[in-house]
Amino acid sequence: MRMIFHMAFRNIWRNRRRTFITAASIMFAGMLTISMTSIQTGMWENMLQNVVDQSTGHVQIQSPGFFDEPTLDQSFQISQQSLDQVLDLKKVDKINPRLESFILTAYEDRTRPAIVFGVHPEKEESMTSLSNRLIAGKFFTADDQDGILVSSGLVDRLGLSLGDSLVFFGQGYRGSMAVGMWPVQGIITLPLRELNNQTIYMPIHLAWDLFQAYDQYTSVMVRSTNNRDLSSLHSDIKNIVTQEGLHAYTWESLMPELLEAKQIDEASTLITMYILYLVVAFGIFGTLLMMLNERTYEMGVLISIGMKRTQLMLLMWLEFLIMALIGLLTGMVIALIIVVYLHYFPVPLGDDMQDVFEQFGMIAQLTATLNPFIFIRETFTVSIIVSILSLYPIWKIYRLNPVQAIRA
Amino acid sequence: MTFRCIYSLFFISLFIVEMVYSQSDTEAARIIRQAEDQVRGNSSLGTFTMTIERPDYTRNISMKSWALGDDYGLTLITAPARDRGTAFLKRGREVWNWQPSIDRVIKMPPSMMSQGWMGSDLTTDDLIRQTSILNDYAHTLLPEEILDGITCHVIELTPNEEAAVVWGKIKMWISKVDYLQYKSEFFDEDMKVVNTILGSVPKQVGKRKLLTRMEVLPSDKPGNKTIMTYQEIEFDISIKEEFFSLQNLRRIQG
Amino acid sequence: MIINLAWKNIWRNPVRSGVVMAAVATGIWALMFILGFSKGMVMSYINVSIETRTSHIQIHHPEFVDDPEVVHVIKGLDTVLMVMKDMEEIRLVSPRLITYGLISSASGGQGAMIKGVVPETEAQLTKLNDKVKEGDYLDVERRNAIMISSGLAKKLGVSLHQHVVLSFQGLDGDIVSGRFRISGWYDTGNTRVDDAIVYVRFQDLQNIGEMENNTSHEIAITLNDIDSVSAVKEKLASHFPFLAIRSFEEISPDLAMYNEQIKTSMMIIIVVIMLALLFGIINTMLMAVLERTKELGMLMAIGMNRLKLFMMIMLESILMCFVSVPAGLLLGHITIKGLSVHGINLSEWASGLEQFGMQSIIRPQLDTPVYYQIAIALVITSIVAGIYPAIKAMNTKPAEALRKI
Repeated sequence: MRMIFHMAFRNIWRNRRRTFITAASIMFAGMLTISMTSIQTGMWENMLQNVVDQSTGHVQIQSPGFFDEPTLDQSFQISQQSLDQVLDLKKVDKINPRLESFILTAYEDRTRPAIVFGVHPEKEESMTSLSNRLIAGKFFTADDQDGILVSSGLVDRLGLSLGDSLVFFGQGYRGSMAVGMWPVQGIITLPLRELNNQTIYMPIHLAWDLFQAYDQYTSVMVRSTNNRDLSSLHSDIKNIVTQEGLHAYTWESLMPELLEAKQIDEASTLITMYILYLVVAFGIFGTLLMMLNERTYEMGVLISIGMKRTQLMLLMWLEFLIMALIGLLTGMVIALIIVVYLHYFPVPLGDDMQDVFEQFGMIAQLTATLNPFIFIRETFTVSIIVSILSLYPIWKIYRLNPVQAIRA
Repeated sequence: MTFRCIYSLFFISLFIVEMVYSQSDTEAARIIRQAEDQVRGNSSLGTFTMTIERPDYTRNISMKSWALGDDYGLTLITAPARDRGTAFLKRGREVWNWQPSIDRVIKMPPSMMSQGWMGSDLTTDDLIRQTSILNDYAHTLLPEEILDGITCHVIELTPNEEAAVVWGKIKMWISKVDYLQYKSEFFDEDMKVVNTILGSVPKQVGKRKLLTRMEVLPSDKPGNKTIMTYQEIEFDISIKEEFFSLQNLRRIQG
Repeated sequence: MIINLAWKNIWRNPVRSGVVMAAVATGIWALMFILGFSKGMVMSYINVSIETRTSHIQIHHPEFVDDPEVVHVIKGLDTVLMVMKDMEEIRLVSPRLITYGLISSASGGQGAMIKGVVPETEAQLTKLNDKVKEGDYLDVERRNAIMISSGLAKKLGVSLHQHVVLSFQGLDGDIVSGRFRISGWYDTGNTRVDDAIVYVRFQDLQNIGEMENNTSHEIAITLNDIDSVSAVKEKLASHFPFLAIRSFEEISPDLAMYNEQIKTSMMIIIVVIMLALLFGIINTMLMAVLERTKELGMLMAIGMNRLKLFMMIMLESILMCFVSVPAGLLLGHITIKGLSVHGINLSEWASGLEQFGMQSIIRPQLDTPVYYQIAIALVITSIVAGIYPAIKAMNTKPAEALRKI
């Protein structure tokens, strides 16, 4: 047994070029599958992060009735203690409580419906980077007495300018009247046209005054430090807020269409991966075949001088295994370099695509995710391919006719 | 009758119904006309309170209302303090709202009409919807019933195809003695009751007799209730169309 | 002569060549399948969007686009329609009235977009009649028919043939209302959108809204050929400089976005698969060269020069592609053609595809230029793959090579 190990290492060392070629074919397989999956997943996570930060948060706290009836009367109060508890969870990055409601806005003789977001400016800013969207005027702070930010589409529809007084009119909390008037302090441009045509941001205390909903929120967005394994975070948050009679939802249940899109994309990525596995398997197989052809003579000699076929099988299998290990490890290292590079230095995809993506508030760039699980999974898959392929030399040796092999 | 009855309470143009007495007047139509005559006035001024009951809170709103005919109404909110001075002007099917806190008059767009008026169980649309009990419905007289000891005519109203009516049918209970409308039920087209209005506390006001308390009960929201009571009402006051102007909407104070 | 030699070399070791060629053919086949499938998916999305939402071109009053108020109408509808009738690129035209209002029933009200359509042209243009899930299309013989989604019906608590009241702002700002009878449920698959739109007849909406004759809010146009969109758009713009004329990509930027996204991932896939093939070929060719060191040494000893040797190995790599590429293309072509007949039914593992604006049956398709692109890419790949082994072969030292076993 020790002798076989010894021989295997010797053989590998003896013909370094052959070792290198075989290992390289496996290295490429590992590298390609790992980088490809990391890039695909990374692009998705990037987009998801974007959407989740802008709209729902990874997990969102709501009152139980809000999901079916998203009105102000379904708003809630939440104790500072619970908020602190949520913030203390290890996987929670930041939280952003909001009060959101429909209202009518009027300027001169025009009246248009709008969505008002009452927010804590500094929390909103740290989660959605709202100030990047400011195109005119001044951004708001928590102390502003009239810090209204109006989306540019709504500004156009109402014929407003900076500083004009905008009238708010509608229904407040529990049937009260929501009435207010504030000058436009800033104009923002939001990605989706639908949003840009009807959105207003204001500091939360103004929204509380306007809707008579003191200390009320309609949702608390919770941003996780990463978007994997949200279910444990979800149940942790749920445990905390259930005591106050509140619910917690993951983004998946709030945006099922996005989840669906993600699943479709994952399915098509999977098809691509299978095809890629097929192609790399061919590559490895080709190399393996060459290696065996080249060594038919040598194997014939070994059997003729009395080596047992099982020993030879073990020898060849070991050699292939060692080469595969070398290949896989180097493949992982190269993939790691590619993935880390793309993760920290995303490659822009050009202006044309940026123009298209911008309408959705996204950045067109090639990026990758850093997920150890992908490394493990893809390495594992390639190992399986290699293991299956390694059966070929065993079969080949089983069928080997030493006399013919030596003569060939 | 119907929600217009309640709207009349806000805008006090109590049941100005088409006064075309036609030959083909059925018995049912005659009873309705009689009931409407009972509360009908050309102009009026009244003070009311509206109580909105919800499972988790109760809100009280006081108001004062002027009305002229079917088309004109002006309502001023007098309590609670936050909404004090807010006024509504109705002209035909349009409603304007005066907000003293921001010194602005706002015209109510259709999108807001589906919301409860002042948070009540009646939408603004319910209040201004102009349908005629006499012309938009076919009337059937059902066997009379005794309601809380009061013998009532029971009339079923089925909407005509052309009328802009949401109900499948309406059932009304009108007392035989004084033609007061003690109960109305509003059905959807599956003939399930969706809203009930109960009238109570009859009072003599001048030469008229009125029910001074009305409860609106939506069937699909148990625990929800809107109660209207009026403290004072005066009919046939001297008031002109010019009173119901946008200028006056701004000026009006208690 | 070298070609002959290279050709013979390929078939001297059929297993080795077979593996390389099979890899290339499989790679091409797989690539074509992915490309065809993705193209089918994109086209499905675009087609569904064009059919149900955007048409090829839409015309509006310029302000209506961002501020859909009832007053922003296209005036002189007849003239506009007349001009379009003379343009032979245009297949179908359907005018619409659009207003936002309140749909109410006994149990409550919901805000909705009210679309007044001409039943006949709409049936041809958006196949609205095919979307009727239960009940009748709008062409019933009675006034004030309305089609709503069953989701909205549930919210309103109404059933088929019952009534709803539509209220909306008329031209002069007054609120008008009318009672409509539900003729049927429609369902485009996208429930969220369906729940917010109700369809009535153009004529009925015009009457109730007291809208001016000869006006509409929207004109939807489909063309005979999707490629003539920008040409027709320009032509229309020159006829009607005061109207907003937009193509489907302008109306719905998500189409462009989706297209671009798919293009990127396709590019990544092509590059990755080409890379995988490239390495596969290099490895095999390299092995082949090393395996034949003795033989190559012999060839050089009998007087073949290095350049010819280089060419021979290159040719082997290229010739193998010449055999495998057509085979792969043919295989791919047959697969795509075969699958496009019945389509691939995804409904089993992507139930909500229709929510996403796609059909659940995907018909793979591939444009002809893609065949050439793949062929060219493979030829380049095979040349690149051949270079290193060929250099290796060229550098064979005949004396050493002959001494080897």
